[in-house]
Amino acid sequence: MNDESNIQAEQIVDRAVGALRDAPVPPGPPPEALSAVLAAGGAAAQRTEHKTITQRIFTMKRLPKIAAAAVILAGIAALVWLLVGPGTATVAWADVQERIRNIRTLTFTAVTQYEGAVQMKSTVMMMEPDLMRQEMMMGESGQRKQKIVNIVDLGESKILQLVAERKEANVIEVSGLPQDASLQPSAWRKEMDWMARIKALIGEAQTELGEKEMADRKVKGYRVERDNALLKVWVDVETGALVEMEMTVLNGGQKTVMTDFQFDKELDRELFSLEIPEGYTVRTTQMDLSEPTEKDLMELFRLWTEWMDGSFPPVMERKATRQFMQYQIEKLKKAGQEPAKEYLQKLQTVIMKMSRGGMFVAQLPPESDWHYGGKGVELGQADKAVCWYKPKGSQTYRVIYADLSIKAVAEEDLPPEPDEAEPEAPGPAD
Amino acid sequence: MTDWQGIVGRHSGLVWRTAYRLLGNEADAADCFQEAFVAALELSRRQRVRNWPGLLQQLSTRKALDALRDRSRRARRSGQPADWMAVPSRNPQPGQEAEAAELAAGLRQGLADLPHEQAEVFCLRYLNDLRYREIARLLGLKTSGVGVLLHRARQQLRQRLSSEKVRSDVEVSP
Repeated sequence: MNDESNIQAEQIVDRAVGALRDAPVPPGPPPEALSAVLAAGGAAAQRTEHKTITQRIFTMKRLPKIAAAAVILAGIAALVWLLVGPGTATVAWADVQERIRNIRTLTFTAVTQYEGAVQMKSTVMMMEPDLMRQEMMMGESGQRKQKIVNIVDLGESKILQLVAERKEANVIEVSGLPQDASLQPSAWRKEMDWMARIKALIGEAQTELGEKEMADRKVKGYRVERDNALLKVWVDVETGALVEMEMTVLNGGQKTVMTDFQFDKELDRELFSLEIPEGYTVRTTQMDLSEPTEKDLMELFRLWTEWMDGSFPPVMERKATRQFMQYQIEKLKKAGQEPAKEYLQKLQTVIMKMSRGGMFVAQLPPESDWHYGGKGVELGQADKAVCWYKPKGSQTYRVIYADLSIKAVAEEDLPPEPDEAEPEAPGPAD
Repeated sequence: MTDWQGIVGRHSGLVWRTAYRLLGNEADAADCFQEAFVAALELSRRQRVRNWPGLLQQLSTRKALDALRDRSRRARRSGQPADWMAVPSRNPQPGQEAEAAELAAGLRQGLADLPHEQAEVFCLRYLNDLRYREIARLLGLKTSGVGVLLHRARQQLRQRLSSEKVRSDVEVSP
């Protein structure tokens, strides 16, 4: 090697380091991760406090939440996909439909990692039409685990969670379930268009992951990425049987690996009863899975200005949540107080409510021409437009003002363009 | 009593950047972010933590390197190349950017294959700008030991990156 190539070889490490250092880093961490970490501190103080699965699902954003609820149903989706997938192309559509119609029960085991913090193994039982039971042991490593049973009855729009050790029953009343057949197994099976849905999924799909050995079987893998979730499915090369399915919710830090699939195993209907055992303390909560609307956006502004001393969010992005949390904690510290568990829970509830407004904005299509100019605007400034957008099919824009009034405005009468050069608000000092 | 909220508030940006830089995607970085904080919290229950930013950088680096190794192992098992170019980019990359992305990807892969201690020391020094003495204190090493590990790490990475460069130059040649 000559001198020049020696120098080049020496420099290559520095150039690689420079490339990695200069690679863009998006604002973060995600608010879910931040609140999980903050909650971990609260849990440490409480020692025995664990987030149960429904509490975890309850605190997720809508998409991960739906994905969590749908993770079980995704099992069937993937199964169908496999039946019609490239590996088993000889199976006729009619056969596939018949096979699915004939499935009465399904059981499998699922190992779930939530937010990188807890590994949970559960047994899942499903019974036609809308029933699911999940039995699991939860708890952090080194601590005593407790058994938790979740019973889902989609027909009743209810989830019952039983924590035997603490004699607690949590009833979750689900509202606003999307009229999406992929989330409703009974409708799913009755409606013929679910096949089209699955076909579409396959059409989008995909990547083959190749073949490998798994539990002494030769398996072939497929990868599907959709709706914020990544699905990897492994099927026996010889028999076409489903061997393993892995689902990762891309932004929610949730990964579930499903194995040991059994079909039409005899299951007792009583396993899915929503009856609460005697002596249990009952707590009822609501879970809203409906599509977010403008009302949710107004609620976001109302809550934000109430908690942030009259100011509007500087940006309508995820990082705003972090600023919100920091502001609240700083405020408390200035008042010489420590954030108590109840306070953090309250904050989490507020963030949950506000997140629906954020979701409303996030789902606006580009043609809605969303503009936001709330930075530096104070509640009550009736002449200041905070934001505007054009609803689908509308001739006029909806303009929201800082006094929380809304007006329909023609395009030519819109307020001046808000300054888009919004520097990132200072993050936490390192 | 530990001011956990204050610690998280002060250092979350640092931990996020450390994790994301090495892993290159939000989902993995978010996992790593949480694992690092939870590990730090557990450690703080057992012993007094004097240098929170140092500890958090060390833990997030370690967790991110674990994830990189895991990614590498899975790729080897599946016979598929790992997604080392994980830094998302929606635009096609012109020459210089493409080269930088390749170098970054090569470095990630190289770090995944380095012995644990070498990779950790390398990252703390060159990606997090910690001083030899601080690294030595965090990892329970002698300052001279840090120098030796860094030298070995650089040597291996240099070989790897150079041979990759030669390979890619050959591949693009007509």
